[in-house]
Amino acid sequence: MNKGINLLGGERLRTVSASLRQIRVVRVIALSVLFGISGLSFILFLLIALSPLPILQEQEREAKRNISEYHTDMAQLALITDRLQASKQVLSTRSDYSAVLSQLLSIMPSEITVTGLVVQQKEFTLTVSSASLLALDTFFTNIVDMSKQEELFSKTLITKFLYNETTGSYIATITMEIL
Amino acid sequence: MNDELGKSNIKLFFYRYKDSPYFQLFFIVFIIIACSNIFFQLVLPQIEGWFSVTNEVVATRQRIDTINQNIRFFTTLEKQTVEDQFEIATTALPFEKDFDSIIAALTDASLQSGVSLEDYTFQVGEIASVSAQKTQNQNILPFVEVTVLVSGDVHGVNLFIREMNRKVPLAEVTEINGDAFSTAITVKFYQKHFPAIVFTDDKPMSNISEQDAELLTEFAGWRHIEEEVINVEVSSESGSFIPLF
Repeated sequence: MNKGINLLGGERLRTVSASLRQIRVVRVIALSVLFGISGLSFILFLLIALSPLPILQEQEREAKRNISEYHTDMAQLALITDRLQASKQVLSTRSDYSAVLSQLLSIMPSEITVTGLVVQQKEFTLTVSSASLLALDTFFTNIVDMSKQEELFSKTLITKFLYNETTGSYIATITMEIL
Repeated sequence: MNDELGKSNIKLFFYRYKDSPYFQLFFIVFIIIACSNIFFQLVLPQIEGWFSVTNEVVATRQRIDTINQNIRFFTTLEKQTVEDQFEIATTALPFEKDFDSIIAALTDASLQSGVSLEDYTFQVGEIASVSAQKTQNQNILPFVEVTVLVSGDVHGVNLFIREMNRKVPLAEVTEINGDAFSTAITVKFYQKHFPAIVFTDDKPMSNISEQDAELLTEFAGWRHIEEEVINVEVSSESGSFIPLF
């Protein structure tokens, strides 16, 4: 049919055919997207299906079977480590009263004798006796000097000081709090 | 009757609109909806699955490598050394109350410090399972408390305390109470119950560190030394004498 015969509707038909062409293009694009997405899905399916995971999992099972022979050694090593950790904890937290006592004995003049020693929960109580007041004084001075030089005690107190007439000796009790 | 009417209606709609732009638009909308459905229902889970598979492949390869490394490590490990280290470590911290070792440690310390032991008092405490339950969450080791009466001066007591710090099972002197002649010393001997061992094959294993090895060597030196039978050779000069008969 000749389009020129219809004098009124020619422009409208041209517009309609142009929009139909556009719609067809959009339809082709939509179809392409549909096929593209389907293709992508298929490729992903292939990638997942052909992954080396099942082979690797079998290899892992085999390796675990092999290492199970060494579980005794593994347990021994784990126990050694466990014991050592706990041992370190004990060694780091335990109080070394011997070191403190050695320090005190090293600064103690020979005229002084230790007549009592009580250690309980970081509290160190030392009872000393001597006929020489000078020796006791030297000992106290040495304790003060030692406390200044080394941080061994947080508190040092002379809790008792008396003179025993029968023995003719001075008795002093020193209480120290160990750091 | 209704079905027939419905079908004819659909046909009627199809033939009426099949060449119209509405049909084309409907077709495109349908494809877009189908695309979105496929993308969200199928492709996205597949992408997630692919990523998880890839990650799992990498992780599995790493695990296999680690297991193989561990196998190589254990094949080169000297079993005798490990057993010796295990023995030393369990002597330092026994699994259960080890009274033999405790008495041996006390005796050794008294011998080395030159003091004599008078009385032992063992405060055994609760049974193992109860104390284990109690101490499991508290990070506190169970122990056996022993009070021992030591005869000797303060220097001997000091040496005894020092020696006790160098003995296994690991001990801690907690209380001292004494005079010039004898001293009551309370010692805690620690122990550690058998832990729950979980085999993690894919965790890299390594030998104990140098510091730990040194500590074990130190513990080995602190162990109870069995009494050596000293064969005193009686020197006799009779060999030089000429027999009478």
